[in-house]
Amino acid sequence: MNQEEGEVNQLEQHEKVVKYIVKNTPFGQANLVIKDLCKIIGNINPQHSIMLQALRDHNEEHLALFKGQSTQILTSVLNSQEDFYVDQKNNETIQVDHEKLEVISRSQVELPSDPELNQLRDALEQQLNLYLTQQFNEKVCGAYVMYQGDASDFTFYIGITAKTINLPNFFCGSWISTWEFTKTQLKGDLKVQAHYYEDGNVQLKNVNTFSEGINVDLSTASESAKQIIHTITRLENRHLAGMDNLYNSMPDIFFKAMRRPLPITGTKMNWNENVHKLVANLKQ
Amino acid sequence: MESKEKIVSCLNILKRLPPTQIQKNAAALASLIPDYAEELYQKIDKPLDIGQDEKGNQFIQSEFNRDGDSFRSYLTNSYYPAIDDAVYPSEALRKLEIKANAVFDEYRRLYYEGGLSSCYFWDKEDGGFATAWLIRKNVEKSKGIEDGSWSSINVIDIKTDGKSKWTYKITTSVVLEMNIIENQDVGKFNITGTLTKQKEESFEAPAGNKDLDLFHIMKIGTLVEDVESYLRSQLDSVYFGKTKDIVFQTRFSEGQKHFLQQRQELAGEFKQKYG
Repeated sequence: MNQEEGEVNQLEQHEKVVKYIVKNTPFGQANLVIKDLCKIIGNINPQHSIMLQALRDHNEEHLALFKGQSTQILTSVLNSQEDFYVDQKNNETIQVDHEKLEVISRSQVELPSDPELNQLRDALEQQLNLYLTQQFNEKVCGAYVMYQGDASDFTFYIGITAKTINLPNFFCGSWISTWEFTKTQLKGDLKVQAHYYEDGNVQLKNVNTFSEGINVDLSTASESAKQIIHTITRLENRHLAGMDNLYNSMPDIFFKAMRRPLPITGTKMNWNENVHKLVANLKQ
Repeated sequence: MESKEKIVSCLNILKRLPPTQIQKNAAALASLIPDYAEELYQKIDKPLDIGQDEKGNQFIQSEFNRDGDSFRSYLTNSYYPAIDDAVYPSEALRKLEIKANAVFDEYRRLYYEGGLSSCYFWDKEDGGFATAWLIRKNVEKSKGIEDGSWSSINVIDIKTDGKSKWTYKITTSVVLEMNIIENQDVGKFNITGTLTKQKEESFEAPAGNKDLDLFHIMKIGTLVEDVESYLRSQLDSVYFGKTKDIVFQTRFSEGQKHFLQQRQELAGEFKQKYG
């Protein structure tokens, strides 16, 4: 293998590692991780293509929110090209800076559009914004609605996310839910993540899937939108209530199964007694 | 020093990744800096592995009973796979090791009601000695847990002032993971954590160094019990509890946000009225 080939193979190997590490990094810490990866690999900076690609994947998987005219979610649904994300409602493609999570530019584009579906989309957006203000951390949250197809055969895509990022206090968390529905079926994926790392390192990763039959009536967009978002809200609330129960069981059931806080006698171990007894037994 | 910086960066990254995947994550990072891989592996706390001797008796495998690719069993004092020219504790220390294992096994029984324990001792050049007291517990399909693992790594450094004072310095790390049994409401719930604490204490040996071995075991054992209990309590109430807080301040439960806002408004009004 000549030097060039060796270098290319090494880069490929590095690329695999970078992708894996950044993919598993909690949202909000990717930039820091990439900085450290550059230090480790050496002779590479965060703008190198393997770093940017890993960051792009990370942002898309976590439904990163980026600053533009209003808070928007980065999504690859309906993407036409790398780095250009589609804003269906405004007939635009948007170019973003993945490191700063900012809009770089927008350009007008012609997208297929269906007036009935547009109505439903707008109604869904309205309901989603209501949902966000009622139940999410307002500072960093957002939702999107898009569709493909036409009135006779359509699929809608909904994304909802909220993030908590508090690096000075060593914690962050994400709520990432993606939904799609057709005329008769609603399906959803939810990812809940939390990370606390002041001194220690504790991570929660929770995933759930949902599936429900629905009936979408395009002629009553407002009603249909309410029903759909109401279903999503109900399922997400049920999930959260389930988490609450689980956390309540944590000390007495789960942790105790790992290690008791005290022996079943209710008192600490008597070392003096045990040391003498057990060592004496050894001699026999 | 370049290597130090790279190791620090690796450790920074490892702290941001799930702790029970640390072996895989460390291996990935080590592949980027193959010359410093050994050094990196020595600095990490990973879940403990279990080995077997020729009779099928189990013992914990760790950095503290490792020589090359082989591990020494606390039961037989032999290495598996067998190797020539390996490191063994001195005869006196091996006697202490046998006693310690018998006592620590009782501690394991009382607190863990299962699992596996191992104590390993080694001589140090400064005339003192050190020891690792290890526990590995697995839980499977029991008490709501699909699968879970707990690893305790207690490393104690023991020094004497040459007269009768003995100083014990303990560093304890706990690495744990729980996968809760999947259910429709919550889906798959995976939580992992690691936490470390250090403590140092000094004691006067009994007169004439009577039963010094037993004295050491009692002092070390008490330290292990204290620090492990502390870490367990911290992980449970503070750390795992914090992940719940994080989730619930990202996505509020029904009515909670409204309730919080109302409370804030009332507080505002109160302040205005009464200053």
